[in-house]
Amino acid sequence: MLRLDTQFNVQNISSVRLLKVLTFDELMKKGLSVCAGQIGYEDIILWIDNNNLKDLEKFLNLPVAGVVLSSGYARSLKNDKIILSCPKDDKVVQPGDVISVGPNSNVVRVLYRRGSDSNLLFITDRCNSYCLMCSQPPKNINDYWHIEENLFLIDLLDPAHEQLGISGGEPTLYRNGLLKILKKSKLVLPQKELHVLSNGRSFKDPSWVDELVEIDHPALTWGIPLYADNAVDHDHVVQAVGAFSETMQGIYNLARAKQKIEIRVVLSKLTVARLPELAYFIFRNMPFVEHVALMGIENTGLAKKNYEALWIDPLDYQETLKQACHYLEIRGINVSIYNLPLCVVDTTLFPFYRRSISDWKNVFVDECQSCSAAENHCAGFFKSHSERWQSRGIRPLAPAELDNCFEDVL
Amino acid sequence: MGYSMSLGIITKEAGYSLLPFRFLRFERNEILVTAETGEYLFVDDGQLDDLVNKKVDPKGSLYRDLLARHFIYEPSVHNPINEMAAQYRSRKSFIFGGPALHILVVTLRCNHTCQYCQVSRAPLGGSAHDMSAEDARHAVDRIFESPSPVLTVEFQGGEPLLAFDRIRQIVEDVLLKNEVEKRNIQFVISTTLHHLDDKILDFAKLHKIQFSTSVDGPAWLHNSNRPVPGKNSYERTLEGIRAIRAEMGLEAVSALTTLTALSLKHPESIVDEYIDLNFNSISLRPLSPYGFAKKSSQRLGYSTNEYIDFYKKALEYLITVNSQGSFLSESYTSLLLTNILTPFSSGYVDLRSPLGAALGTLVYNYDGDVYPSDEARMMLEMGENGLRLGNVKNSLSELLSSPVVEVLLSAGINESLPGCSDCAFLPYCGADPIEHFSRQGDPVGHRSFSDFCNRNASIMKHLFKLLHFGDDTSNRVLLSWLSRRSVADISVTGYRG
Amino acid sequence: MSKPFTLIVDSEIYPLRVVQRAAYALASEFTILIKSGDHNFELEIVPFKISSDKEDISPDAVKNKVITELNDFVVRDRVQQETSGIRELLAKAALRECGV
Repeated sequence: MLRLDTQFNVQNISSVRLLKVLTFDELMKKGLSVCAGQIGYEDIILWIDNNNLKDLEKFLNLPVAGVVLSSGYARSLKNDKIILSCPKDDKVVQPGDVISVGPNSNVVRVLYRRGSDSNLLFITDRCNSYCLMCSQPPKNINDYWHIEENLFLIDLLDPAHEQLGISGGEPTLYRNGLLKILKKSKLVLPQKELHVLSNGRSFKDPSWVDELVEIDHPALTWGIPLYADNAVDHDHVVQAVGAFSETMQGIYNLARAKQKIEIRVVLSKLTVARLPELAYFIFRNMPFVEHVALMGIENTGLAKKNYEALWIDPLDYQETLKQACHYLEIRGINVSIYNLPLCVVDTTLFPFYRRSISDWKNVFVDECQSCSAAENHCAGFFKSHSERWQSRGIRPLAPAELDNCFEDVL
Repeated sequence: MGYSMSLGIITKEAGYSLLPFRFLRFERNEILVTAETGEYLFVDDGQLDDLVNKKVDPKGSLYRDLLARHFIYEPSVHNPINEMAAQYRSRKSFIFGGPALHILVVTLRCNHTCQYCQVSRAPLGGSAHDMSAEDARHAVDRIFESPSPVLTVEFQGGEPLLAFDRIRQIVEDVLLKNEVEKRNIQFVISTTLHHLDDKILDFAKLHKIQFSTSVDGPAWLHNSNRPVPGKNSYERTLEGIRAIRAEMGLEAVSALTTLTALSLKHPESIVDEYIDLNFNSISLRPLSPYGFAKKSSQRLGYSTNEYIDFYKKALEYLITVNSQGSFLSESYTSLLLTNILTPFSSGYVDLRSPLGAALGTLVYNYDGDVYPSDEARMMLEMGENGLRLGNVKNSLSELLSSPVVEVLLSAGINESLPGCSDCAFLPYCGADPIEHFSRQGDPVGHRSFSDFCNRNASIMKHLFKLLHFGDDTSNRVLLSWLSRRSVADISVTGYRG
Repeated sequence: MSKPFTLIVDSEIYPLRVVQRAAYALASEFTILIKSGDHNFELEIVPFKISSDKEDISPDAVKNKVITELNDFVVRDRVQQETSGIRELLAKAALRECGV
């Protein structure tokens, strides 16, 4: 599991900069079109490793922003360019990544990781719900700067196809900012599929419909959580009265705007009891839904303090999970199961299982050492994982048990 | 945006209000309740009583089920109008297209003399009973006056292949016009296949025309039902089936049965025949009271109850056969399953409210007259041409403004028909004023004496029982028909709610 | 023809519209003549004999069937009263968007 930030020795930086990390070879080969949007040399920081250390002086004379020394090699350099050296974890920053570095800290953040399966544009920490299991607890602050940063970041991404997430908090709270980001993505990142996580409540305002129809993004999906087939239970999970009504209205408005919709359900003690009924509710009322994502719970953020209300051993909800998944699948709605260890999932559910925990978040435990699913099949655990959030059913699987399971060989 | 639903209803201290629903008593304590959306639940007497008296416990699962399935709502908590409207719109979506099924009776000539035939039969020679080229051209104009994006053009007769030149003319005209119109068009020929030849087959292959034929059962049964001079109706039909499949694949030809009193004694043999012939669907329709069938009803007749007995036996056998690995779905059952288990309409013209006749389908007779349905045309045999809409030279809007349509509509919306308006099966059923007119002499008809009602209600009751109280195997088979997949693919039925 | 069976029902609990609908629903099994009385309806019920070798239906069975039907229609009537207008509202809401 690879972090998204690490500490460097930072020299010669006076303001926050977003920089594309590139090797000299790649820059020569592709020029500035290596990035999706319009960029200049001053947006590039060159990656130096042991092989080309000898050319350091030459590189520092190029019109680039500076250099990042991948190894711990430190040298006193008389130069105005940005120099990053002595990384605490030398795997965190790699060529192709986009980093953010500023004058007040030696922490370098990776905003975009080349080859990652979970790059995302973070919009805001603000939210209008307060879910009991929220992994990103809301902050009531003005953080519109994320919009500006993302608009800039878009230009620095690799242009190639990938799934790009957009989330927060609640991204629709900066309505115009989000719309700008969607418009720019369509223009600059036409190969990327966007997946926006939103509670959908803002879309109760029908004026969104025209805006989204106008943008007409070719590959945009809205991932919207729905935790129950009724208002009282759903509103309880999201701790906001009226949320169910707003979300339902929002879903219909999105459908009117011809948007693709995915329904997401975090599996907890509060949601698994009526999961089959929720599946029924989705099929009957929203058969246009593209996909239903059922997700194991992450022990982070607010989930920790709501353990009693939320925790249920996944072994104990396999029955309702089966009922729900097969019900939907037979009726033509795609279903996926995420964020659960494979060994606790019923074998008839293997076709729905996805090896999903973001590559920068997952770990395995001792029992997994001899498991044949660990390498290519199992999602593992969240980094935030702990004993009391661990199923009693964790066990290594034998190769014969993996017959039905999708293999994710990278 | 949202629609308000303030109705001034006194709810006292209860937190919920009722939404419109209907119910049907299956057994003493087994009551089917159905919502306006078409969602349903089984409750017992006590629960029904609690429901209407506002005594359902809000902390329980029944309350939540009633809420989620739109039997009740909580005015101060959530207004479910969006969900209900979405389901209602979906269920009635067939309204929006205009007539999509256009049936062209290109000739009355036929080489069979089936006793239950519902059309007059004309001798093989001569063209006095063929549709004229001019009328055919007008019919094509009518077809495209319908706004429906999907159109089915079906050729019937007599034996339509005897007038193949007319079929060719119509297909070519339609395709030419469609280069501009760009609709999704499917051609079907309903034929015994006795007059199929290479020329016809090549043409069909070129334009992906589907064939629909009759196979009443094994040879002895089929030939007994369908006399031809050579006494080989079955054999010649099979030749046709083989020829089509060789050129166009298995799916290019489908078959239906027509059931006589003799057929009713042999459900398993009929099913076995379809399995042997590798069909993937069978239609076990009962004889309707039209055409020659009505005149011969003494000999051929059977009551609706006798048909229902046959249907249940055939269905049971079909389930067994399907569970053993052969895929053979019963088509009417599949339509009903779509209506019952999904928010979609099967679209079947005979099971719609508002009715499918005229609004969903038009029949262009060989003589240029236009009728609102197949059955309406067949009533000519009984001397009844009161259902004629007009002539093929009239525009579509003239045809649909015929006073006949008004009469049909006034009896064609089951929500307003006595008997139907209280019936729990209403969301899944339809109105058939033409059958009622034929059987009872009045388009509204009396529900307690209606064969249409008895037939559909009996079948639906049977299906509900299977779905709810039946075993896993039956459910897997029924779901395999609903989803058009093999039973093996459905290892777990999932939530049966 | 079997012999008629008489049932008297309170017209406040079973208003005419309920009695009529119940009679309609049972029409294939019974002929029911409705006579109006003092705060009640007198129902003269004659079961159809389906076949001559079948036993006459017992008076208790007739009573049970008819009363069950009447009670069911009281429930339907109650639902109809409480939800009147909603069906029309729903149809309008559903079909409005499509220019119908």
